[in-house]
Amino acid sequence: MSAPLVVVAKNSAEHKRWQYVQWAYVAGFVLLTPLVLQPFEIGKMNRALIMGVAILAVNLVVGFNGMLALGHSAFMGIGAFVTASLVQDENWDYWMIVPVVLIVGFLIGVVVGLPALRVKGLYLALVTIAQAAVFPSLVNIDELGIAARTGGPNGKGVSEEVIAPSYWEWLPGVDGARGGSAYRYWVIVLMVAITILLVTNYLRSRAGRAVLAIRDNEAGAAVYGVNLPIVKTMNFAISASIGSLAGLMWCMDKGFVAGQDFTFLLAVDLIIGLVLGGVGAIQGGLVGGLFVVWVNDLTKRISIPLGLYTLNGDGPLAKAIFGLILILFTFFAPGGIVSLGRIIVNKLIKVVPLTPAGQPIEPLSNFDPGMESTRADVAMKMSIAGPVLLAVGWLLMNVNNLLVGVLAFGLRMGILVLAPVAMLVGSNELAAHADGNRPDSAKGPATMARTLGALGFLFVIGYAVQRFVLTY
Amino acid sequence: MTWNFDILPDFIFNGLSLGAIYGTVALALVLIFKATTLINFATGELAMLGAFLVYVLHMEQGLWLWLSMLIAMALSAGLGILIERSLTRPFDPSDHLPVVLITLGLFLILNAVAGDIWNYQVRILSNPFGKFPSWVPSVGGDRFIEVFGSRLKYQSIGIWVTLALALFILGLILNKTKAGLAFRAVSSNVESARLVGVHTGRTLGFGWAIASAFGTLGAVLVAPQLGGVNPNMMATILIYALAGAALGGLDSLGGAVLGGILVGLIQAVLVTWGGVVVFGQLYMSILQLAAAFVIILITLLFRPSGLFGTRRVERV
Repeated sequence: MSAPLVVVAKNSAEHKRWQYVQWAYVAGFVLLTPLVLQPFEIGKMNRALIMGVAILAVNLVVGFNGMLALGHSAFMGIGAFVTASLVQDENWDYWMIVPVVLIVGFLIGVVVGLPALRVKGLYLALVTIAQAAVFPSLVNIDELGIAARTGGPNGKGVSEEVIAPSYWEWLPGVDGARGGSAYRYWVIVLMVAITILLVTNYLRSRAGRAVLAIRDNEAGAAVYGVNLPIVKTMNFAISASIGSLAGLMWCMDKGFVAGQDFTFLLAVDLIIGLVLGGVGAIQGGLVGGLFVVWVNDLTKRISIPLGLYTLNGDGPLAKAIFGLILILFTFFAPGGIVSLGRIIVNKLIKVVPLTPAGQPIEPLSNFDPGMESTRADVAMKMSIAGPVLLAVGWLLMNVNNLLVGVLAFGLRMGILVLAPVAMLVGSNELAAHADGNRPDSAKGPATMARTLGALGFLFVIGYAVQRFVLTY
Repeated sequence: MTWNFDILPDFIFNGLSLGAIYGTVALALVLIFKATTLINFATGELAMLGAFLVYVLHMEQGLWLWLSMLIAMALSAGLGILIERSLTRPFDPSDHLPVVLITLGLFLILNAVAGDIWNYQVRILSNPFGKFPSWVPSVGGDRFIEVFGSRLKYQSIGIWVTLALALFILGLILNKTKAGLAFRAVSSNVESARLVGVHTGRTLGFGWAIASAFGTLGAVLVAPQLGGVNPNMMATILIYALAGAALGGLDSLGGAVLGGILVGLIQAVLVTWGGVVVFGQLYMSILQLAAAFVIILITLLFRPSGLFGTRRVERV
């Protein structure tokens, strides 16, 4: 399948329809998470989102500026300890701490970043790795009242819980057994959304363009008048302040911070999440965060007997699995999951921009009469495959095995993609047939794809609504 | 917080011997950095694996300590070549990210595998320099000599002599052999070296091999001071070695050794200043580890190329 299934013009009605489906899924995922999952699973989701913000911060330096920052665990730790101390000792509210944490993170970012970024080379990697290694022990220093503030080796608990005020209780999941974690989930989702919006805008701004230019061609950027050390340091400091924000969210979510939580291993987790998600992609952070948390959870449950020796994911080997993933991704998928997803999406749909005169620069799939179209057939197969995979997945659910369970889950999720794609391609092909651009033989499969796909899509939506109503 | 001058010589001796070990590990870092301009974050874990090999050969199989050390160094050199050939050579060395990711992945894998095989408990590895050999006339005791009223331990002397010997051999290899010449050529200019017919890949493998062997040597020598070998033994050492390498200059072999020794001395002075007295034990105080971080920052602020590194001049 070389040609994409659908070629649509940018911002056409066709394109909009695809986007609506996409947004419907994002909304459905965000809405259902606090309703369907168990409270401890919501907690994990919160952790994934927090990791996502931290990975986004790392990405800002590594992915968008081409510098190596390996120690964002320390910034997370600083944010978390500042928050814990201000909430517990000074009785501040969380929202009042947000600007404080951002500023503190920024300043420390400047202090750490400026010496290393003044000179070319791997020095930032050197400094940040030392920073990550040093941070957990800095927390325990007795002098200057540091240990009193941070709780030293015992860690610091925050007794004030984040509870939804009465006017927020209508949020899905907040009113009920999972109230606390669900409310924190919503607060975190809001903060994640704002962060992503700000980072996206930042990267489109003058400063952001300078950052990207440095990554792509440092000498060229300098020629165009970009002040390399200043732009790099500002970018690193912004990244540090976002990392501290992730620390604030961490403290808010867990209610307990300790130096051992922010070791070098957390920094390595962030790097792994970055590579898994996708270096240089905004979505990469969230995808990576989800994977780091859930893969960690999965590997812990692995137990494979190999004769005398049992391969346990629970022990030290969990880290080896992460290391293996890191190396495999570096070799075979340097763009991470986001790039793998893009490969699939590119096979499904191609969005073609319009010329100023309103003509698409490539023939759209509706208008290629000469092409012997197999698209309707493919769509029909997809529309059939969706329910079949769903049924197989449902049957496999009863097998009590971790790997089969993951497989079954994947199969059941297949319909999420297959049904709407089949529906949209089918309707596209039918429109093309109505315009006289397809042979009559395409009509049958296209109709079938549209009908079955629409049914599958309705089923998915109905299922989601049913879960929503049931639990709300 | 008081200065305690009475114990200062003790700590200076201790710092010098620790520093020598930092210098060895820093040397392993710099050997790879010089050739490939990449920082190998798995250096420490490779060295740890080497120390465990010595543990298996000497403590479990009962081989002679020095022989098992040589075998372990050879084996870890082989592992270094293997890693260079299979994992880092496919990547463009001017793009740092993939190679750093590979070494981070290796760090995790080696640590976890060692943790799975040997647990995370400290295992005693016998000290190559525990007591003076019987042919040395006894001065002061069988483990130390009295100097300035302080104890200069046999262990420290042994470490210095071993490292001086190792450095001498390294100098011979680099300056008198063809492989050493090729290594110097590659580290000064990869393109030109390739043009005159040097097999750069093989030469980089050679660099990895020597670096791994040196790391192993450092790990074995430091083990008695840490109470034994364990999978996390090199974590802090690596940070000090990084500081030492940065201080000495990332592309200077002699600078790495001197930088490591300086870091060891600074650490020793800090211990005296903090008034922390733990005789005969490596005491990883909090302030000390932060010192490594501060040393890196100050070096970068005032002399980014390090004390002995070559300043890079680049036209933009």
